[in-house]
Amino acid sequence: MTRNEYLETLNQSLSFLDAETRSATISFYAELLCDRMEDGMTEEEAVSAMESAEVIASRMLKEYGVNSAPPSDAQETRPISPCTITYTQSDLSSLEAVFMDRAVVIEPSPTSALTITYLEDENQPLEYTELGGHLRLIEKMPLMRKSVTLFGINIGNVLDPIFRSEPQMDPTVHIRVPCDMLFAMDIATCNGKITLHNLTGMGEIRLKSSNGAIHADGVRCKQLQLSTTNGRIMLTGVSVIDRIKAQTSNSRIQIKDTSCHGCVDLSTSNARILAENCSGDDMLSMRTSNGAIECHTSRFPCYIMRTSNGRIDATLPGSMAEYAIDSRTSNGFNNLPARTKGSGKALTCHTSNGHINVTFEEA
Amino acid sequence: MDAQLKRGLIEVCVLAMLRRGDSYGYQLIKDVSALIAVSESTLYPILRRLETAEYLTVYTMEHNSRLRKYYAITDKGVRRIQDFLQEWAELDQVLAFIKEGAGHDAQ
Repeated sequence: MTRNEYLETLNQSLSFLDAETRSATISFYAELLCDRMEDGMTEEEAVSAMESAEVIASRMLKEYGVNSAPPSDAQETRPISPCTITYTQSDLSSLEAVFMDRAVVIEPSPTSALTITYLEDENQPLEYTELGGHLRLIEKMPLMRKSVTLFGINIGNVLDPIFRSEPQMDPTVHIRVPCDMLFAMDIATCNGKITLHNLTGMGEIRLKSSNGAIHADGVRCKQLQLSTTNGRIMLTGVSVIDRIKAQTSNSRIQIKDTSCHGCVDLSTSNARILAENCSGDDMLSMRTSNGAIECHTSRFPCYIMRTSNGRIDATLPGSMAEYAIDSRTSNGFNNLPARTKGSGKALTCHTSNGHINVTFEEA
Repeated sequence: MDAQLKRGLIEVCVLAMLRRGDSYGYQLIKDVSALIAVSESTLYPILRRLETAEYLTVYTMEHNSRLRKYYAITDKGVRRIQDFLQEWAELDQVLAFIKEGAGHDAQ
């Protein structure tokens, strides 16, 4: 975007202001652009370093908007405003977003622009930077907090439950992606659930949550890496080219109607893993401790199923003779031979304190 | 940090910067950001408010064949800084009391 385009966009966004305020505001930001260029930045770099017209407008709206009361220090204000980040360039390389309490929903965009919408606490704004096709959105502070006072002095903050209970106060971040936009996406959140819905033509997707679940359905992408500590990982109708890696600690992993040309690596502890109607050209690896492993109507050339304190139940394509088998358990029944040579496919089943019950579609 | 607290801090911080000498938007943002995280779009309304409250004045000067707006503190602005420091001296006393109480709990 050129300097004039940026200033024109800003001018449009500030149309609610009276002429004097609007002109003074634009002069202020125009000056910043000049100062940046004097500092050595090119016009493009200077414009990229500026905050978006939406953010600037929303801050001015709070102070000078027609319907807003002038800010009063006497009353406790709720400085929450809806924010939208819009990226229209076609050269998007990567999107990195880090949130604390927020859930994230990623779905297709109805236009050719990538948009990120969320409610922002004005006093704890999210940090957004955009440089050379790399977008970064970082939430450094947890959500809206209510101050606690003692002797009339603020001594701390507690999470304000009102923020979540009012429907118009939903802090979920919505990221809308135009289809067939190939870029690397890294999303992380602490306490929020991450949902991917009907995304096609995506590049590498890396999602991380601590306490939230990760759900993906109808996603086609190059690479998928998912990690969570206390949340479930659920994939339905997902199609990946390079590889799928999903790991969680205390919750289950479930993949259905999912395919991958490369390796599928699922690992968890203290929970079960289920694969149903999935297929791939490489390996399906399912590892857990303290959990059962189930695999049905899935077609892979190589299976690795490892658990302790859990049973392994699977129905596999082809006949047992095709598989090079390595199976063992203690304290459990095992209907597989311990070692065979096979021809082309491979199957490893290890558990202790659990049954191994694998049947083959062809006798 | 609490909302009102942060806004109040940024306001007085800006005034304290201007006390050291007149400054302009870009420089002011750089200097204040070094101390407390603040975005340009948050700072600008604060500058306007300080001007309305007559804690600072704005004047224009030529710089490299363009016009640049400079901010200067007023006497009222200087008094505002002094009032602020006095409020915090009172806070210090209360903090000492609270710290002392917290120390006992730890034993």
